[in-house]
Amino acid sequence: MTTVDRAPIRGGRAVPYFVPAALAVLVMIAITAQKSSQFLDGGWKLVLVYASPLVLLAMAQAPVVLSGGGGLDLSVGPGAGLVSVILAAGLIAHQISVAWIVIPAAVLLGVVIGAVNGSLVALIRIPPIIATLATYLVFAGIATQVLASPTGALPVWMDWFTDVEGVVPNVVWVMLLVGGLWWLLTRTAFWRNLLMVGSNDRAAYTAGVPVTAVRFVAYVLTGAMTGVAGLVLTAVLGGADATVGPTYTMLAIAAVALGGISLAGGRGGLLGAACGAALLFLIQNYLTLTEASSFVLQMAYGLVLVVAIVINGAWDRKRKNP
Amino acid sequence: MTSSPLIELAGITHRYGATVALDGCQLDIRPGEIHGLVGENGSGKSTVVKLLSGIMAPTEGTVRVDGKDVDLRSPTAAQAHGVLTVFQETLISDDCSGLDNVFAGTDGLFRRRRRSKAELELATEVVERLGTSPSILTASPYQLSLAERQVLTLTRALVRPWRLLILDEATSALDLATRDRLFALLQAERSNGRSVLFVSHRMDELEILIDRATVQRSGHTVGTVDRAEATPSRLLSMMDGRSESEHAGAATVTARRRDEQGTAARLCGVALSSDARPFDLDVRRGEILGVGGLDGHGAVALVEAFAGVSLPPKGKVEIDRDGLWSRVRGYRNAVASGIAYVPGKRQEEGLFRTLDVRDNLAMATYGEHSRLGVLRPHAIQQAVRAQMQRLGVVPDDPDYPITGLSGGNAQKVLVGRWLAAEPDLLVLNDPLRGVDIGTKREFYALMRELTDAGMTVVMLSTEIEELLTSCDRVAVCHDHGLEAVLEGDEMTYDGVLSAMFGQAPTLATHERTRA
Amino acid sequence: MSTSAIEQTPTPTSAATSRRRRGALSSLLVYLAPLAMFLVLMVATPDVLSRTGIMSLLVLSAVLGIAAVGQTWAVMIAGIDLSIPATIGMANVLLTTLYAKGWSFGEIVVLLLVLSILIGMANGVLSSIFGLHPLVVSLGVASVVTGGVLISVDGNTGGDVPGFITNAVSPRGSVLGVPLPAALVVWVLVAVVVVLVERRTVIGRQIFALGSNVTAARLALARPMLIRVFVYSAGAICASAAGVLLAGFSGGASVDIGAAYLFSTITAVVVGGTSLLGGAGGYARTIAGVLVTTEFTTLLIGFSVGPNMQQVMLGIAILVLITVYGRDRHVAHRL
Repeated sequence: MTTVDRAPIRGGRAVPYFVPAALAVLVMIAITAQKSSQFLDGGWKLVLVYASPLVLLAMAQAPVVLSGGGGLDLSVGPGAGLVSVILAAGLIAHQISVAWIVIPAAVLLGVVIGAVNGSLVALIRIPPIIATLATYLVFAGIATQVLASPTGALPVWMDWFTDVEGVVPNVVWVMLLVGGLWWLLTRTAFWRNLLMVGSNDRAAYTAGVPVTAVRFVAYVLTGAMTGVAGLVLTAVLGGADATVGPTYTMLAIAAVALGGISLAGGRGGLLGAACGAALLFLIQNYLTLTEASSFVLQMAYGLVLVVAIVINGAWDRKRKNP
Repeated sequence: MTSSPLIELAGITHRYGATVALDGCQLDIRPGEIHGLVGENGSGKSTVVKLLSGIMAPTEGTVRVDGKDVDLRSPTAAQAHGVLTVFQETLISDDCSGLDNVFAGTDGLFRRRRRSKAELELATEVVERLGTSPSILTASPYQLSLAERQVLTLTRALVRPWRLLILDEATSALDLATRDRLFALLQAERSNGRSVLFVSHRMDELEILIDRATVQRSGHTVGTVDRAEATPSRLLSMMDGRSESEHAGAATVTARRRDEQGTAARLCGVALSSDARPFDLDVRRGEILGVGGLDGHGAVALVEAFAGVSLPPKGKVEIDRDGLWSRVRGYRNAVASGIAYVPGKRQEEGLFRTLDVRDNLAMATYGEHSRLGVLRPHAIQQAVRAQMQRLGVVPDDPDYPITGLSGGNAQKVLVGRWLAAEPDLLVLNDPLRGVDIGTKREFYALMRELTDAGMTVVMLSTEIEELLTSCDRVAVCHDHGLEAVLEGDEMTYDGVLSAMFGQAPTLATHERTRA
Repeated sequence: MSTSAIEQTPTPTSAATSRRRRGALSSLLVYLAPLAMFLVLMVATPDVLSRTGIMSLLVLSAVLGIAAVGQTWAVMIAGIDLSIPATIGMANVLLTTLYAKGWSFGEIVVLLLVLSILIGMANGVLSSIFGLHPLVVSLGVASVVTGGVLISVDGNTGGDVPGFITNAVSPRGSVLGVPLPAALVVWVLVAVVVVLVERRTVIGRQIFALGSNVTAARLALARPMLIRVFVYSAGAICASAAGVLLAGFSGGASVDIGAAYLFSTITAVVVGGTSLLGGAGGYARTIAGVLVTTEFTTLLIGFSVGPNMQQVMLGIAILVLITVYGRDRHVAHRL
């Protein structure tokens, strides 16, 4: 999904950007398997289910970061929370709970959220950090206003998301579906436009790429994935809790940075973001296994993040000045 | 009119806020002609280019294509009318392949899927016509040279169905061979009825290429002349309003050799790139040493070596410190040794655009005007005022935002920043680019005054004329080596130009001998 | 000497004068905004007029204002500091736990100073190498700080608070017989020092230079890494001070006590009109931003707007303000 019809780089093929993160994930899986016999024996499925909202939100963060210009969406956490709250307290609580309404509604709500952010950033041209900080406050505020205390009672079909009976847990199909749709998108000109805008918007503009439209669509895509994350979050939580969503924002940004995506735009993809998120979650899982305190966990997060971005930075520099 | 114009600008006025960039501009380009657009910086050339490229819309006036009024509101709209622009800056995305860079913007937002074989073949053909290896289409742009990158932007324009190609100083990034092939290509396409708007400072290029030329001065269109009339001296006099004879005589004003007072600084065994031949160069105390060379041939590296901004890969730079040679080991070390450097790109490397004149003028000397890190406002105010008066900065107000000053006055502030440090050696990197002629003359007088007082000046200029009129000697770089150091009678336009091209007299230089 | 230059350049003078007037007008508006807001507050909810009401508003502003020093400077050098909440939490927890263990207040202050400078060095150095984005750097540093504090106190964040700290943030507190809460006095002192550093010191001007143009700043003898370390260290020291003051409000301490200050400091800076592009603005503007946001929140509380809708209104207010004066340039204007 990464280097679609990009011709081989002169002097040998360059290592794809997500390889370090993917390797780190494999290493973490090996370490975890050594520590816990149950992990390979099905424990990983549960881990994956709990990790899925973060993985999806990290993937959601990717398009806007790729679109450059300081592109960033601080509102993905509260956005997913808001979608979750509206689904649980707005639809399901009013007996509108059939899958063919709830699932499209989740995606649609996400698209609306993305369109709001996209309008603010691409059309009104408010700096992304400020625009999405403001919508963070707005979404979080509305979510808590709508739903003061957590609610439960989900329709039975939503248990599908948390089911781990199959060969792979069902959330994997959700991620694969999102990734697959994204992969189809990377087969269109949009992917080239996105990279072009992200790495040099002035060059893209003079070449005739519709910069504003590309950025707007990037936010809408982020929003759509946020909507899916909101749906999965509802299923994983077994209900909606307005306070949970916002906690994901910083983790998602950390995951994107861990996944090797350049915060300056123009380099990266969904796979890296997903690897970054998986890495964060695996570290957390491992430290829980070793009965390390949550304090160590917190510190490890920070250290991993700092080390990873330093390595990414050094690698990036080497790539640019061979 | 021999034929109806392909594109026409009629009575175009453009304002940025209260600043008038273009005032009643008239320009018509016929099918099948190469049209030169010349003027000093600030004359409105780049505004004309931006209007035609769809980057901005004019405040007043109309643009016509084939006699019909059109609205070029975006680069895409301009391209739809066949207007393609290649800018001086190589606008390339480093994260996309060369091929994707070439065809960027041709596929719509989602529509097209893969790069087709036909596209690759088309791009390969154009790249090969420009004498470059098609491998640049598949390489990562990080690995490409400046010239190869510019070939990509040229290819980007040439693969599209263009009718008017605008080259906005686009040849400065090219090497000579590529440039000549581009010129041949343009001349061939001209007979297919395609037109070129060629914006350049390079008189030699204009002379061999253009059919007609339009001259801009201070936002006004001075006029359009035919090939026969478009001699360099005529164009120059139209550009700055001086008479032709002044220009013809300009070259003789030099040769003010001074009494030798020893060497102020020297380069020993310096090579400007790792595989270039090393050379020595002495700067005499109290002289103005001009540095020239075509873009990308090491002239910038030479002045940066003097200033310690970037140390040369081989050799050493030394400055005389009270009779002892002190080696320049870096920028701060150079400043401490009494060297001052006025950078070339005023906006990118010089000015603090968010700050006022005082900060811009005094930033480098705040350390001297402070006690334990605390500024002494009185001393600063005095120093700033003194510099502003000496340089004649208009307006005479330290609290003025720097962005409110004209290019010439902003440049004065930048020079003042370093004069305030009272250096022994002042290194100037093309200080007068985009500065009006009045300020230029003041500046030459000031430099003479400074050198009379014992300061030594090394000045890079991209204008040969300027090197001849304002410098005592001229060092010319070619291919990252020192090609020649000219002084006295050797300092002629032809001499400098020949040296820039590696001694071999090239192009039309012989016809360029002045009256 | 240069009459010719005036004639030849197309009227720069009038353009710049109008720009300058506009600049002066907008900064005047920024400083008048807190007063205007206060008048609205007086009319809408007269009960804030009580001394306690005003003082508690000012004490809240003081804590936010002190915490926002670092954010202001970080934004001025075109960066951002996400480690402020963690630093606040660190100071808060260390003060209470160590004080309970019998450390003297002075010893704790020295420790906090050292730790703050270490945090500043981590942020400053890491954001200077390889051009790493300060957003991620400070996010990582924040996580390390919070984790480190929790490990060092083994999760026991409770403890004692020196009485004078509680007194410092009490609206009825007084300093040397003057009926002003000490927190307010501290803020005034901090503000004076910060504004003087910005305007009257070499490094202060270099902060502006660095935010305006990194290359030009380096050529004008500023040391980018040193300035970044200075900026983030000063910010961490002020955040620590805010954390200490916060201990006076609540009996119990928490590493998360600063969480709200992540966005509220950014909000105060943005509302004050300091551009996220760097090189402009200043702490004086942030003071106005702090007062306006605190008054705005107080007003909403006065109208019985709950905390959730307060948040929503604040978000909308930010959007409106930035739409009016903080929009980015279109890509065509950067060519």
